Amino acid sequence: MSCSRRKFIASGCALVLGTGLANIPLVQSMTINGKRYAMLHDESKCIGCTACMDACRETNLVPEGVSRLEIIRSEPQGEYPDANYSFFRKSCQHCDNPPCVEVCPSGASFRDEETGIVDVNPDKCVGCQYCVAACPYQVRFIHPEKNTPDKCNFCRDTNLAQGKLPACVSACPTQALIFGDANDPASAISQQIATKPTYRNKVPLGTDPQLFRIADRNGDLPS
Amino acid sequence: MNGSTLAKHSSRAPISLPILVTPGLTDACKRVKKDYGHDEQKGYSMKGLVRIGWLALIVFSLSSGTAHAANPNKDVTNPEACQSCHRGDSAHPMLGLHGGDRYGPTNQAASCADCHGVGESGSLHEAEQTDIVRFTHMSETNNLSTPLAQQNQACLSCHLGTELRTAHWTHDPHANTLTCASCHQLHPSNDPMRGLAKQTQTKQCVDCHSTLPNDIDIFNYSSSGGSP
Repeated sequence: MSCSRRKFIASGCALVLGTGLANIPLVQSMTINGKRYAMLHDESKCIGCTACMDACRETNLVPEGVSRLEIIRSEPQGEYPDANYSFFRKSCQHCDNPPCVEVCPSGASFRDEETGIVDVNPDKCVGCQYCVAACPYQVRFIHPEKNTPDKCNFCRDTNLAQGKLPACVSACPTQALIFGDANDPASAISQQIATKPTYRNKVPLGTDPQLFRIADRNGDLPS
Repeated sequence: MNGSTLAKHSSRAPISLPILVTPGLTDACKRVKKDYGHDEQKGYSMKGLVRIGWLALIVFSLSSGTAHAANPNKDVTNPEACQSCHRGDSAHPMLGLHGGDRYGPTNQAASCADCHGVGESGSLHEAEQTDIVRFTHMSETNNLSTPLAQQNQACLSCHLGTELRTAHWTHDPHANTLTCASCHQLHPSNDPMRGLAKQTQTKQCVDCHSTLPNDIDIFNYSSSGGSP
């Protein structure tokens, strides 16, 4: 087989170009340039009143039957009158490494570079629901009116856009929710994370969730 | 309220007690004094002391009964008698199951004494109301006239903890920190806490908890120490 100099260079260039193109990710960049918004749920302060759920529904116009945010109450631990409950916030964890964004074929699931918030662009969504299946926290649902996936976006397009705190944070009567920039060492959330023992859900999956939690006193560990 | 509790209180009905007490009492006292009275030389005999103790107990319990028997209008086991004076007002009506309505297979009403007790002297009135159970909102005073545990125990004698949990889970975490009357009205025709909409329930939580200091540990919060 003859191989002219011209053909060799041409195929060489094509190979370099091809590998170069293949390296461009289909999804948007995971790099965060500005703020890194995170949330802390202090389970030792939470009273399970679900005021956050109501506020979220009202602010983000979430229809009944679905929810961006749930407070899951445990079974009673102990007998009356000494029974206790634990409360767990189920909502988007705004992962640094979000599986929902990875699987999205159209770029509708994205991570905002300026804030780190994981959000959905309904205009780009093709409705494959890969993201709903991929989320290990099972927080995505199909919005019954938009017919596209929906979930918590830290009120990015509502309260946050107006310079206010997320609705759940403002509504909490016991200040069990703290929201802020985890990249700023002076922010309240950074200081809480730095000084108090926190945990995150399903860390071994490698999702790097940005919803931090302070465990209550009803857990397995002796207090 | 179950039948047995009612029966317990009904057995205290003092209608025939004066006949038993008045003549017999004096004789019994005399007999004890004669047989087992204090002797400077011999001292008290143990048997005598025990018998005196029993007698004192009997006299005490009988005299408790006589207090209201003398005036049937003060029969604490009959709600209608109490309500001839304690009618309540529009803000605090005397209605519903706790206010004399008859209910259940026995068609009996809870008596006032079922919840408020009869006091140590056996008479709500003669005790100058110092030792009856008063049901109060936690915010009314830091020094509850009746301790929290005693107030709630009166309710728990009928309303079982398991039933309260089924009715609403919030009964559990508040059992040691709030009096029942902090949330519930006790003599209404219908308790306003019944059938609250979900959002109104949430508002109840928020209204109260947003006034608590932020740094308290709610899982170890004791209401006895400070204002709620």
